Formats: sequence, structure tokens, C-alpha cells
Amino acid sequence: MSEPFADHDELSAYLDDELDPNERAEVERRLAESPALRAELEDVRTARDAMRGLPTREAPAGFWDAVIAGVRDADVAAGRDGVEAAPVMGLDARRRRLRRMGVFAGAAAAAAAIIAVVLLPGRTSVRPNVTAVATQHAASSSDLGDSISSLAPVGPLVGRR
Amino acid sequence: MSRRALLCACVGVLAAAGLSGLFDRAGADASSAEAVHMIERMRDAPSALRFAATVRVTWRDRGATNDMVVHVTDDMGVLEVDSGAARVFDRGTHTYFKNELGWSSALVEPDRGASPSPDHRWRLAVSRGQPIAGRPTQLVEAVRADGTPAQRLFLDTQTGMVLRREVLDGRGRVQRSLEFVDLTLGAVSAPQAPSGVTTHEATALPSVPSGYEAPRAVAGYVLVAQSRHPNGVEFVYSDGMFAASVLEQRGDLDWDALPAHGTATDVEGTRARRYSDASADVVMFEHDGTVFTLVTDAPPDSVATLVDGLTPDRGTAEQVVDFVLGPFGWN
Amino acid sequence: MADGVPTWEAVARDHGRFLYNVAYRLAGNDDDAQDLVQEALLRVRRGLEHYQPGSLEGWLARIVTNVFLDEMRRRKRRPTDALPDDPGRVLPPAPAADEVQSGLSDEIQRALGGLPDEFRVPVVLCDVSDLSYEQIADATGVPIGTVRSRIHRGRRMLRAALTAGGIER
Repeated sequence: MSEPFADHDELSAYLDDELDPNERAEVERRLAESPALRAELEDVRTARDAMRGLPTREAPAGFWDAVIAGVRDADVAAGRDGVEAAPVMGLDARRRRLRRMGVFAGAAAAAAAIIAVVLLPGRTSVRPNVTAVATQHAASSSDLGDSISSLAPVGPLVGRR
Repeated sequence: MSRRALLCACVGVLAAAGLSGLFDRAGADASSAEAVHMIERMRDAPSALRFAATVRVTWRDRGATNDMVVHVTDDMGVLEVDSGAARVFDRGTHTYFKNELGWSSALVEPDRGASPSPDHRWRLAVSRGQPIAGRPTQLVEAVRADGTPAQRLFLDTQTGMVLRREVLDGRGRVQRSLEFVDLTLGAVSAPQAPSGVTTHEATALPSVPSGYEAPRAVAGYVLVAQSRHPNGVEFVYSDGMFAASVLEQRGDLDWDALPAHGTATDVEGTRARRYSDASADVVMFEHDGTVFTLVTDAPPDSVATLVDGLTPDRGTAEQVVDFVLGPFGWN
Repeated sequence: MADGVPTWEAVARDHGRFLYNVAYRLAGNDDDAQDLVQEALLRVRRGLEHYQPGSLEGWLARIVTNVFLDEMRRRKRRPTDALPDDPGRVLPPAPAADEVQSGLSDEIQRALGGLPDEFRVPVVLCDVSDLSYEQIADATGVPIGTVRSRIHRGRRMLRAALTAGGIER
């Protein structure tokens, strides 16, 4: 899928009134000079108008009753320190899991635990797990930037321990 | 005005300032705008592609370079990385990791403010790249003030995806890299998500929670997200190119329990332990009754200024210079 | 009601149409829109105690966006579920207030459903919700330049799909 760099996205910004007066003037000057640019503007204007012409919909009968009931029935505890509310994996309310504490059990848990907090008399000892924090960082940065760059190097990291 | 709206306004101003460069075809501004476009395309590419590939990953640790080959498949943004001993499966907000002990997952519920543009902090330059995996590339470099590249991205001309990425230290040595050895575009057997996996859950927070301190901006990075983990709070920073996570936990760091492969260092009297790994540098230190775990894929010199910025009573210019040149020897 | 902080029920009542329209245009059908709106309100309910009065619609946009992207990725890995962005899956819409346009609306919705998620989201937030680029950047967590380029490319793809579908303007 070949994409030329010359995608003139300033044209969309122009239509959406996201340019300052100088930039607007510059776009208008270039539009006057270039039929190709005008054609691209018309394409984008057509799509924009089509979208903005879509009617505002009203939800069908029963929609809101079902939604409100679904939210009321869900197991939602307000988050308190260290105690988290219902997980957000999947939306099927019928299969919604019970609220979980963010701790682990078993061998996999020992490998994956980000933190083990050991309460000693008068002191709280923190033992970070290097692998785990690095993988957690990769997880959060993978959708911040380029997922390939974030995740490909995690393979060797995870495999070591 | 909320902090987040203020951040948006700042990003908007920066973006608008960058826009005027789009119309100036002569000079560095045009190259920077093109570079930003190419980086955006690189970030979008995995969600629009299907491929199977072999990738070599390298990283520098305590003076020696390690390398490993992994297999990567992508099915329109669902990524799987297989390193033999381990697998990583990513479907956007959920990322799963598997080692010999089984699967676990990291759940990320994104609740971010706008992140900075790639040229927010870095000077970017575009040039022709060398062929990688038999495919023509263009090179985008993020360059320090002194002209040395901090990151080099070789981007596939056809698809825009990254084919080689290098993170370099101030002396031109490659700290971390990945490179596609071979790439086959086209339908792949769909990576399968594991089921029944115990989950590490983090809940996104809309703002810095009470009892925690996190600078809104530090060392060129901007705070873009925060989330609560079972025993601490994670702050995510971005400088437009690199990301840095800072996990803050109240308590005393149990130095003896840390893994052995770290380097002990001293930052103006603050004890720190650093790990250079395939995906990131991890630095641990304590400050004011809080344990900090910093994780970032940024180059070593950026890591040093981040640590310095997070321990604010040491922030004078002279100390930063001492910090970078003195006993805090990263390599 | 606590000072300035609405209840989730008030959010549903006052901003339900906004939530529903964004969800419907993203998902393409009412069943999926219902799941999205319900999950979004659940997150609203959890998040309200931290909410700082300000741009409520921006905050809601971010929640709906996250819920949508999360669910779409989950569904791609379960082939037994019909893919919401498969044009053949779009159910006949509920009777729209403006019946004259309903045939055309179906075609546009179908074309919209063919866009990759990352492009569909900013186009919907811009043209259905009328958010600014800055608000969309905040909702999607990407730089404002990325918002702009995705909106533009999304519109070009939409235009191409509308032409291919025989829609002339």
C-alpha cells in the first residue's frame, strides 16, 4: 500500500477551521495555483460533507432501559487504595468476571508480579521485579508509539527468567 | 482550566508553530515536517498490515553487545513475538507475556492526554536509507543539539513500517537495535490470544493522585498518563520519540533483593541500580521515602537527565554537568 | 449530587445521545453500540470520583474511544463473532428521524465501517461529534499532527469507498 508523502492534510485542517489566518491564506494561494490540489480538496470536502450530513440518530426502543439496567447490575466498587474495581476485559456482561485483586497465585504469578511488598515490623520493603516493570512499560508504550519497536525486543527479555 | 486542557493547549501551540514550516519548502522545517509524517505512518503501519518476519534484536550491557533473533507476526495490529523461550502477544490495550512458567498479562487501560509531536524535543532529519531485508528505505534521524544521532529509523518506503531501529549513545555506539532480517507481507495464520490468564491490572487515573508527586514536564518529557497499580502509581512520560515510565512506591528499596546483573551507580549521593536490557534501561533509586523505578527506551544520556530531573533538590546546572560526565558512567 | 460532579445517571440522561451517536457511527450497528455505551457508562461511573469539572464531552469522547478500540481488537481474534466493520454485517438501522436520507446514510455508514479503526475514530469524533483536533488528540492520546493526518487520510479513503459504491455527489 503505497502512500505518497504529499498527502496534503492541511486541506482537511483548512476545512475544519484548524489553521491560523496566515496558514489559511497560504492554502488559498496554493489552491488557486494547483488544479490537483483543488481536486484533492473536493474529494475531502465530499467525504466531510457526507459525514456531517448523517442524521443524528435516536437510540431504538428499549436501548436505554437495557443500558441503564446493565450499568446498575454491574459489579462496580469505587476504587480505594490498592483495591481495584471490575476488570475491563471484554464487554459481555453475562460473562463478566468477579472483581479481582491485582495479585497473583502460583508459579506464573511469581514470575510476573511487578511488586512483592513484604511488611516488616515498622518498615515496608519494596522489591521491584526488573523484568516485570520492563514488560509493563513495553505494554504501555506500545500504543503510545510504534508497537513493533516496543514489543519485538521484549521477547528476549521475557525469555530470560 | 484543567491541567489536561492546559497540556492540550500547549501541544496545540507547538503543533501550530510546526505547521508554518509545512509551507516553507526550503530548509530544515520541511524536512522535519516530512519526518513527522513518516513517523506517524510508521506508528500506523502495524494496524494496516499483515506480515511474518524474522527480527534481530541487539542491546549493549556493561560494555558487551548481546543479540537474539525473534519471530514477529502481525495481523492488522495484533502482534505476536516469539523468541523461542518466550512469547509476547499484543492486541492493543492488552499485552500478554509467556515464559516457561506460563502466561501472564499486563492490562493497560489507556487514558492519556495528547502526547507531544515527534519533533517536540528532537531535531529530525530525513535522508535516503540503505536497503534492509532487501527493501528500499528512508532514514529518519533524531539528532541531539551537538549533531549526534540519538535514534535512527530506517523506514520501508512501500509500507512505512520500521525495518531497522537504532538507539545510540552520545559516543555513537548502538545501545539497542532491532532489524528485520526477512519480511513476508501477506496473510498470516492469526495469532491466538491466550485465555484464562491471570492479569496484572492497572487502572488509569485522570490526574496525579494525592500523596504522589510527579513533574508535569521533566528533561524534555511531558507527563501523558498515570495509572494505579496494586502497590504504587505509574507515571508515563513522552518526549514525542521516546517514552519513560516512572513507577513510584512508598517504602524502602530492598537492595539485596535486586537481580545481580545490574550496575551500581551513584547520582550525587543518591544510590541507584541500573539495568540495560533488550527493550529498555531500568533504573532504581530512592528519594524522600519513595522508591522510583524508571523504565525507558531512550538513550543513556536521556536516562541520566531524567533521573536528575526526578530528584529535584539536585537540579542545578553544575550538578547536571557533573552528573553526566562524572562517576555516573553508563557505558 | 456532589459539588459540580454529575452522577452517572445524569451523564446518561444529558449526554446519552452524544454517546450513542459516537458509538453507533464507530460500531455500525445498535447491538454493538449498546455494548459500547454500557461499558463507557461503567467507566464513567468508576471515574466520576476523580473527575475534575471541565470538558466533560472531551472526557466522554476519550472513554468511548478507548472502549471501542479495546473491543474491536478483542473481536478480531474471535472469528466466530461477526466483525463489526464487515459491510455485510451492518444490520438495517433503526428508523432514523430523517427518513429521506436513510438509504444514503446506510451507504455512508458502510463506507465508514470499511476504514481501519485508527482512521475511523478521528473522522467520527471530528464530523459526528464536532470535536476540535486538540480535543481529539486528547481523546485518542496521539499528537495533534497525527490526528490531522489520520482525519485527512480517513476522508480520502471514505471518498474512494463512496465512489466505488456508486455514490456520486
